Parts: sequence; C-alpha cells; structure tokens
Amino acid sequence: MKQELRSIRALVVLACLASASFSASGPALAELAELVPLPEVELGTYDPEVRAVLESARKRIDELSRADAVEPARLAEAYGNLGRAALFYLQGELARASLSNAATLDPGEFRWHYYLGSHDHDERRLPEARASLARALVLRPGDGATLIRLGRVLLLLDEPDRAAEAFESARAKTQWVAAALYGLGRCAAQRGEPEVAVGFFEQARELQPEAAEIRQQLAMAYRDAGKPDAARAELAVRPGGELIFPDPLVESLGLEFANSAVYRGLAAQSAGRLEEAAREYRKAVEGDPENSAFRQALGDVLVTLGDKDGAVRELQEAARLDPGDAMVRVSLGRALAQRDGFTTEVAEQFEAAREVGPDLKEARIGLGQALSRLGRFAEAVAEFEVAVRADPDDAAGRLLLGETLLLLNRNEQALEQLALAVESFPDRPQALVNYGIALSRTGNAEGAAEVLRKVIDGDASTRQKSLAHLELAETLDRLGDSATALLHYRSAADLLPEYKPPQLGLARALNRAGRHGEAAETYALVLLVDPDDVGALGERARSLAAAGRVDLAVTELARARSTLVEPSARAEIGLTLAGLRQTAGQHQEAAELLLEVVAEAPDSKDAHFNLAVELGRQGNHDAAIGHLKRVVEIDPEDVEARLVLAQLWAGGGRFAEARSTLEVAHGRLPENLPVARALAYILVGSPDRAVRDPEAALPVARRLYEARPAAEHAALVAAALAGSKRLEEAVEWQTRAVSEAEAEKLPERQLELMRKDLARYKQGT
Amino acid sequence: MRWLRSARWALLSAFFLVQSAAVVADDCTGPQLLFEVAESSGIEFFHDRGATGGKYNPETMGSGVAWLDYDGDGWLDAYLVQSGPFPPDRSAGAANRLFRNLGDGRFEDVTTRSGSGDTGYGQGVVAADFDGDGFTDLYLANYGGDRLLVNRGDGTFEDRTRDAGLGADGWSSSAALADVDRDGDLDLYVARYVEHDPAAEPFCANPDTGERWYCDPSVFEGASDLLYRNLGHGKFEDATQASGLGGADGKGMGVLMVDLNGDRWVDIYVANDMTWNFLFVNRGDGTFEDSSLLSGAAVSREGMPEAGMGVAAGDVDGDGDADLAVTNYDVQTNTLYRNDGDFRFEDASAGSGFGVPSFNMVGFGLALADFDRDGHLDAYVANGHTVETPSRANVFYRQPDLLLLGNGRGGFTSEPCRLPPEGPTVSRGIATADYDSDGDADMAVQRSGGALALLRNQADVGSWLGLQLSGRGANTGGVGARAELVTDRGSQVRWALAGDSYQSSSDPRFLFGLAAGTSVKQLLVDWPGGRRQLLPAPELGRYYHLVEPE
Repeated sequence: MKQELRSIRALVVLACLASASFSASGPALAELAELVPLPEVELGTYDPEVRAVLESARKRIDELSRADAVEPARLAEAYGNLGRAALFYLQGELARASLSNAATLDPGEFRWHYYLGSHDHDERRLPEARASLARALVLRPGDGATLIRLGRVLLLLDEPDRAAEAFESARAKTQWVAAALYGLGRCAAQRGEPEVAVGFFEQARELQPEAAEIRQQLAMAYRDAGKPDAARAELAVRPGGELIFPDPLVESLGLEFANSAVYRGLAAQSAGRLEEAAREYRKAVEGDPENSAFRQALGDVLVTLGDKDGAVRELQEAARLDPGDAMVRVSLGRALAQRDGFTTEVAEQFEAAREVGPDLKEARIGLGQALSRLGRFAEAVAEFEVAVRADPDDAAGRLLLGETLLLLNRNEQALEQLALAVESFPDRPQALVNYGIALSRTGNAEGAAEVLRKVIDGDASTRQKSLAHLELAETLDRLGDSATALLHYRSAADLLPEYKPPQLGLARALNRAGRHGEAAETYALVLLVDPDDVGALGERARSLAAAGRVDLAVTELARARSTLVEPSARAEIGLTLAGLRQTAGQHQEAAELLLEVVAEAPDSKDAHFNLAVELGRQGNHDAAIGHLKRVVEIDPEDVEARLVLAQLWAGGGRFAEARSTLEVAHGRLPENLPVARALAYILVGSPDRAVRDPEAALPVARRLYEARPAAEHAALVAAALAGSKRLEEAVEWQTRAVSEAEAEKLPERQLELMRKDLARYKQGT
Repeated sequence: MRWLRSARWALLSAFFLVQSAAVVADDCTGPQLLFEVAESSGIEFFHDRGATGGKYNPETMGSGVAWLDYDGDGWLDAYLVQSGPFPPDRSAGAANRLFRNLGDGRFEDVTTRSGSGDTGYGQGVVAADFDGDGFTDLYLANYGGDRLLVNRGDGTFEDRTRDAGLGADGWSSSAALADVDRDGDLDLYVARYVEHDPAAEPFCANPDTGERWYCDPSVFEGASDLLYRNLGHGKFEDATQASGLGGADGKGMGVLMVDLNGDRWVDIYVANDMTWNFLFVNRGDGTFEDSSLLSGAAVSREGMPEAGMGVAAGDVDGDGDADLAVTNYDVQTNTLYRNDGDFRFEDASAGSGFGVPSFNMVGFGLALADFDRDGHLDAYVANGHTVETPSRANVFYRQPDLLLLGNGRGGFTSEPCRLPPEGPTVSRGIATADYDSDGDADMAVQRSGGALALLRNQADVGSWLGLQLSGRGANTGGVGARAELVTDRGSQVRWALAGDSYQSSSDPRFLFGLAAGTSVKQLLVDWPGGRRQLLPAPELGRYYHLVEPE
C-alpha cells in the first residue's frame, strides 16, 4: 500500500475505488442519519440579508428532509448551496458540514468534493484536503484547478514527488502553466535540486513577473545553487503581486452570491445607488414573499428614498411575518416616524421592539426619541440610560440622553453625558452646542463661551451656528457683556431669519438695551413667520408702547383681537391691550375689555387681578374684592393679590377682614416684607381698636427691623412696645427711629411725626 | 443604518460567537505536563494594558517577563513588566514587580524593598550582568524611555540609565545582550517598534462599523533599532551607525543574538511586524552584513513579509546549528526557518507541523525547551489576538496557547491536552525557567490585560542535566556560550541567550532533558571567549556549576 501511495496515479485509483463504493446506487434516505449534523451558528450579529440567505438555504434542507421521498442529489444540492453560501460568508464549520453532507449524498458530483477539498486546504486540514481533491480529480480528470490545489496540498504534506506529478499534469493546461511551473520548482527545491528549481522558477517568472512568490523562491534557488549575486538581483526587484491561477468554482462563489438580488441590492446600497438597491430588494421579495429580512431591507431603502408609505407597508408586512424580530420593529418605528412624525403609534412600535428585544440598543434609542418628542422626557431619559448602559461607547446615545436631560433641567447629569459625547464627537456641532448649553447652565459660562465659539468658527450648519450664536449671546448676557451678546443675537437672527428663537432673543435684547423701536421691528419679523404668535404680538405691542407709539400698539392689538377666535389667544391679547389702555388712561375701556377677558379666560389670575385694580380704582370695592378672592383661589401664593385685597378691605373700613387677610398672607410668606409691614401697621394702628393687637405686632415689627434696620421699622417696634405699655423701651426704640430717620434724610413732615410720638412715649401717653 | 456597510462587510464582519477548537490534534501522547500554580505560589500580578477606548496600538502589545537570580541565592526570581495607563503616566504608579523565589515553590513580592518597580509603560525586559560585577541587572524596554536598573548586589537596584549612556526614547519593544565584538563584555541590541505619538494618533476605522479602531502597523513609520557597544565599567556607546545597522528601521518586536553559522561571532535576528525580519551577520570586525532576504529567513515562503512577533533559536532538527522560529499573525502561520548552514534558511513550517496548528492564532511569545524530557526541543507558543473582535471566522481574541512537542528531526505535534485545561487567554511575553530546580522547564506567561500564569512543569519521565556558567571576565553569566551534550542517542546543543521570545528573558542556565535509558558520554562547553571545556560522563539529575577556565 505504501508503495502504491507514492504515485499520484495510485491516489487517483484509490479515490476511484472509494467513490465507486458509495456512488454505485446513491444512499437511501434511511442512511441520512449518517450525515454530519449541521452546527448551530449564532447569526444574531449578521446583517439581515446574510442571515436570510443562510436561513433560506437551511430551510430548504429542512423542507426536503421532511419530505417523504426526495432524490439524494436534490438534497445534496440543498446542502451544497448552504455550503457554498457558508463558504462565501466565512462560516467555515457550517460550510464544511454542509459540503461534507452534499458529497456524501451525491458522491458523483465533482463540485462538492472540490469545494470541500479547497476549504480544507485553506484551513490547513491537509490529509482531508488531499482525499477530497483526489476524489474530485476522479470525477473530473485533468481539471487544472484541482491539480494545482492537490499539488500544493501534497507539497505542504512534504510529498514533493507526488506533488510534481500533479503539477506536471496541470502544466498542459494553458491557464495553469505558471502555477504548475512554480509548483514544479517548489518540488525540485524541496527535493534539494536547486538548479532544476531555478529552471522552473525562471519559466514561471517569465509568465508572471509581478508575482513576489515566484521571485522569492527563485532567489532562494539561485542562492542554493551557488549564485548569490543572481539571488540578490532577484531579491532587489521585490514586486508586490501574487501568483495568479484560475480557480473557477471558488471564484464563482463571489459571482454567484454577488449576483443574487439581495447581494446586488446590498452592493448597490453600499455604493449609494438606492433606487437600484430597491429594485433588487423588490426582486428578492418577489422571489421569497415570506422572507421578512428581504422586506425589511426593502423597507429601509424605501425610507431613505422617501417612499414612506411603501416603506411602512413593507415593514408592517415584515413585522407580521416575523413578529419576534425586534430590529424589524425598530425599522418600522423609524419608517412611521419619518412618515407621521413621532406619534404615539411610533412609540408603541418601539415599545414592541423593546418588548421583543429588551437588550436591543436601537429599540431603546428609538423609543427614547419618540418619548422625547411626545414630551415624556423623564421616560425618554430612562430608555436612553438603558441604551448607554448597554453600550457605554455609544456616543450618539449619550448625546440624546444629554439633550433630554437638558430639557428636564437636570443640568449636571446632562453635562456629564454631553462631556462624554463630546469626547467621541469633538467636532460635531450638535454635541458642542448642547455641551455649551450644559456648561452655561451649570455655571461655567466661560467654558460654554469657548465651546460655542468653536461651533461658530467651525464647520457647522447654518442652523447650528445660529443656535451657537444664540446660546453664546445668552451666556454673555449672564456674564454681563450685553453689548457683545447683542451682536451674537443679531448674528443668530441673521443666519436664520425664519427661525423664531433667535429673532425673539434679538428683540428681547434690543428691548433690554432700550432700543424698543428696533425690538418692535424685530417682533414684526417674527410675526411674518408666525402671525399667530400672540406672545410675539403682545411683546411687539409693549415695545411699541415703550417706544412711545401706544396708539399704534393699541390699534394692532385691537385688530388682532378682532380676528382671533380661540378664547385663550383672545384673552392673552385682550390682557395686553387692556394694559395699554390703562397706560393710556382709558380706564373705562380697559375695565370693559377686562370683563370680556375674564369671561374668555375665567382662570386667568392676571385678568382677574387687573380687573380688580381697575374696579377698585373706580370705587367698586366689592366687585374688586370678588375678583381678588378669585385670584387667591387660583394662586394662594399670590401675595400681591392678598395685599391689594387687604388694602381694599381696610379702605372699606373692614379692618378685621384686612387683618385676617394679612395674617394668612404672613403665615404663608413670613419673609415677605410688604406683607409683614402691612400687618404690623394694622396691628398697632388700626382705626378699629378691636383689631389692634400691639403685643402680636411686636414680634412682626422686630423681625422687620432685623430684616431691614430702617427708621420706619424701628418706629413700628416702638409703637408696638408703647401699645404694650412698655414705654421705656418704646422711648428707646423711637429715639433710634428718629435718629435713623435723620440719617435716612426722611421728609421733615415724617420726622416731625416721629418726634411727636417720641414725646408722647416719654410723657407716658 | 445598522446594515449599511461597505461591500467588504460580508467578508469582514462574519464571525462566530461560539469558541471553536484550534486546528490541533486531539490526541496526546502523555499526561498533562504544565500546571497553573500562580495563585498558590503567591505571585499575584495583573497586567494593565491601559485600554480606555482610545484604541492606541501600544494597548495591544502586552508585556514581558524575565527570570533572574537577583539575590544570588541560587533560586530564580521573576521580574514582571507592567504597562499601565496610556498615554503613559509614570506618576500613576503602575509598576513592574519583582517576586523573590523562596525556594519552596512560593514567591514574595520584593518590588518596594528592591527598588525595581519602574513605572514606565513597560514592554520588554532582559536580564544579564551589564557591568560585569557578577550581579544580574535589568534593562527595561519601555514606551517612552528605556531604563537600566543596576543590581547593587545587596538586594536592591538603582537606575543608572543616564550614567550608562542608555535609555532610548520612543517605543522600544524587546532587547537582547551578547558579546558581539568579543571584547569580553555584553553589548545591547534594542528592537524598537514604530514612531508613535499618542497626541497625533491617526483615526483608523473599523471596516465594519466605521468606529475608531487600532491602526494597522503600516500606518506608522518603523522606528530604528539600536545597538549599544559596552565600553566597560557600566558605560555604553551607540554603535548603530558604526556597525552598519543604521538602516534597521523595521517594526521590531522580538530579538535574539546567537551564532548562526558556528564562527563564534554572534549574529542578530529580529522579528519585524509586517516588514521583513532582519538577519544581521556578524562580520567579526565590528560591523554587520544585512543578509535578511538572501538568508530566506526574512519573509514567508511566498516572498511576503509577515507579522513577526516572538523569536526563538534552537537546534530543533538535531544537526547542531541554531534554527530560527518566529510567531506571526493568523493565517500566516508561525514560521520555522530550518538552518541549512552558511546562513541559508528554509521555511520548513508546513511540512514540520510547526505552522499548521497556528493557522487561526496570533502568536506572540515563543519558547523552545524540552518540556517532556525526551531529549528533543519542544515549542511553547503564546497566543492571543490584538483586536477584541477579529473579523475572520474561527479567529478569536482569546486563544489557547500551543504546546508543540518536537521529535528531534524538525517535526512537531500539537498536544493541547498537556497544557492546563483553562480557557483561552490573550497571552504575550513568555519565558522559561526551571524555577523549582527540579530539572524541567517551567514557564511564566504574561497575559495582556490579565493575570500572569505560572506554569509548573511536572514531567515525571526521563532524566535531566543542568548547567550554570560563571565567566571569568565581564560576561559573568557566559552569555553566548554553546553547550553540547553527547549521548548514545546523539547530541543536543543549546546556546546561552540573554533575551528572546517576545519582550522576555529566560533562565540563563542550560537544561537538557533525556529520554529514559539515555546514556550520557560527555558535555562540551564552548565559552564565548573561545575556550572549550569538557565534562566527561556527567552525572544526571543535577545542576553543574562550571567556571570558565583560565
């Protein structure tokens, strides 16, 4: 046996015998149990198209295996197809098992033995490669690629004589001559015949002068043949090419899979030819309508092409076919968001994706975006947090998280996330703008300014530059540099004249700079963009009024109010208009208008308050009190309303109600000085003696003085002491009051009153 | 879009998530040889590669290990190189560590009291007597400034880098010593990798995802290797240009110095990453000839440069000369260059069984020793990929190491079951030593971003003979000596090297394994100075201490 195996012919004979033994009649299906089990391969990390190709091929095997009667060759073809696909997609173990089964089922088919042998050769399973290639050679005698492969395997197995026979046979094939000559040279070198090797290598070099492999071996052969100079000369050339020889079956893998609709689609998509990609994916879908991955691929491309309805249709179908595929849900969510905006339905799709794939980052990110757009920022933050925990390197996720945290005013946390995002995206304007905002909000105005200037000076979009100017302007405002801030507001507005925030920022800055006329003009630009912006309308009116053009402001507001239908908008305009009328001294018109506003916006505390003030001014205290009570109902913390209410009670002689109102207000806001002062006054000096309570007034007055040591407050303490019959202390405090009043340069009349009180206290009256 | 990738994606992105077996034989001819004992020995060392997402190439390199008897008590101590944060920060305190061998299988950490805890971003180390005072010193190849730690002889070290005229800046990888000019003291070769500036790190993208990724070495310019001539008394001079090595700007990873043609002049072999390996032939006049390409040991059989990492030299085919072995990247396979004499090497990887088992591996450390004590050199290969998610199927970041048992005729068989049955790791520098002096080769294995492994050899077959040399001149360790053990079954030859493998330095002593029943005739030692010493019929199972004759 050993003797026979020294010859390539013997190998072929052996392979013939082996083939004949199991190809005589083909195996019965009952023998299928002897097939190699296919390894379970984790395909989760593969793109859907690859997964689909492999799964589709595997499904075909399953279908045929379940059938009652199936031709072994047919099943072999199915295994072979899976094997080829697995080879192409570098699934070595799967390829080997599949091809091995194909060869077992259809041992008369050359391809399976060749693929198996070439794969084993590539993976350096040399004895197995030798066996498979020998069988292939039996089935296709003289095949050039097989001969070259086999020769190379035999060389690696250190069998140069048998390898030489294979190469010698291949030498007769035109396309394989160079590879054969090179192989023969290697055999000679391996046998220790450098001169013979030189001859072969030189011939091979003539055919393929760019092949580094040939020149290297030729140089070594020269060296070993005692020609070091020739060796050095050969080594000095050092071309970078490889030895080329045709390997049609292996090359066909690429062509075959590259020619599949899915692969063509993928290639077209990768090259940016999206319409072509869509056409190819559509063909794939037509070929296999039940394949959710093909539909997903088509849907994703259609989204990019703008065919949103088509995309949603395909992706809905994909989701129906494979409801457990989280990524399909994500794609569907994205398509729906493209088509309809971030609606509740979009959020539901992403929720479904999260349900199916709780670890899928894309589902969390999509859901976070949807929730954020729906204003559910806290929930969005929770999703983004899961996503970045799952992938701490996901800078885009951190950016979204940081942005949303900013919306929640969780500025320190936002800063932390955005700082990390900026590390990964040091030049991305969106990240920098948000980072700048976070820095500014967390008190690092100078750092914010530096970051925002980087955006302004960098390669950002117009919108991003405008936002950066706007944020920088606000930051500079906080730093007290209003003049420079104003320039940035203007730059922001000039860059995006149709975007309201910069225009509004500029208008407000102009107002702050006292340039009300320019502010009004700027508001006019805002109103050109959004005529329904009642806030801007009101602000323009106030700017006009401040610029002395009250009539124009009133006219504009009245005209606007007459065209508005929505009650809250009418009320907002009405409130501003009423204010202007009050400013213009048109109290009756103002009161009438405010009555209308109160009817339109019964919960508007400003409307009630302004109306109460106007009614009070007209002496209609009861009506005024009613509206002020309503204000307090709407906002129990509204101190101003309680103070006015107490004044109205007192003005109407109802001091007990006044005291009660002030006591409630003081209880709620003990630090509020106007309330405390009013309460102290009424307690020490109410005309209604029953309401007076100097002992209760004393602590209020003392705290007032502690909070602000003024003459008025010292006098209140003195009055409370005197009312409590503590005259010596009252004298002391009144003396201090007089002294401080003199230092404060209070009017003489007031000083005189204080001196009189001091005299009274001294006299004990 | 998750799946909008380049057309290459299909070929590049596919990988299994399940671990597969390496291309190795399943059968073993004997029981497990090497056992992991780091924990019980008291060596607790965790390599910090400093990876924080910046994808700087130095993070992938790992570090080395040296065996030396620093305190002269006869037991080999372990010096472990640490890397630390990157970009390097000496103040961060990530220090190399010295573990003293207590002689009972246990070690104690003596880093602080020995003053050997350099905090540079460590790569390689070589241990030898630099100044001829009889105490073993340490040279540290660092990223960002090499260091020479001189052994004071009292159990402490001091940094004498500047005084010695050493301390290359830039990115050093490995170092080796030998008396290249035969003036009696040890000269130093430093293999350096590439010119690299973390502040100007180029952006290299993962072909799958477009995210920042480790750059291919081709992105960087190779750094020039350095040869320092020992002037005596602890002083060195840069002899790179004068020796004709000025053009040695490959991307050096591993280096060794050994006499490759038997003329007693030490030659230099350097494994380079993606550029051809260097073989510098010592002309004997202070200069070297670049015979890299002509030797056949520079490139693969296909004429292509490979990603050389670790190097080893040994007579694997029993013909008395030093063959060369190099670890490479996956698919390339490791390479065995058989020495055919007169600086002619033949790539014998394929037919020898040396290359095929490494097909799916990225090899780093490499050691040739007779692990199974059958009288033939075996190979231990440390494996582990450089990137966390390799693109090729069946190739993984964590990989099993290889133990290739030699047959003495240049053939090898992989026997994985003779290694510890632990999972795959990311191994880098390795060094052998018979640290328990029981006559077999033990092993220290550095793991990139992992815990050091101490593998104790428990070979209980055959016999052995050990030899420790004491030179009379400044080369007190006899580095460069050749020892030949003549037996009734042929001869075994060993060379005393200082620095080999990957970034590492092994046991300076000779250790011969002998198959059961082997009869030893004599032991011949050729000292680097030219003297020959004969030890007739030496007794087996012990270490001899030979002093260089007058």
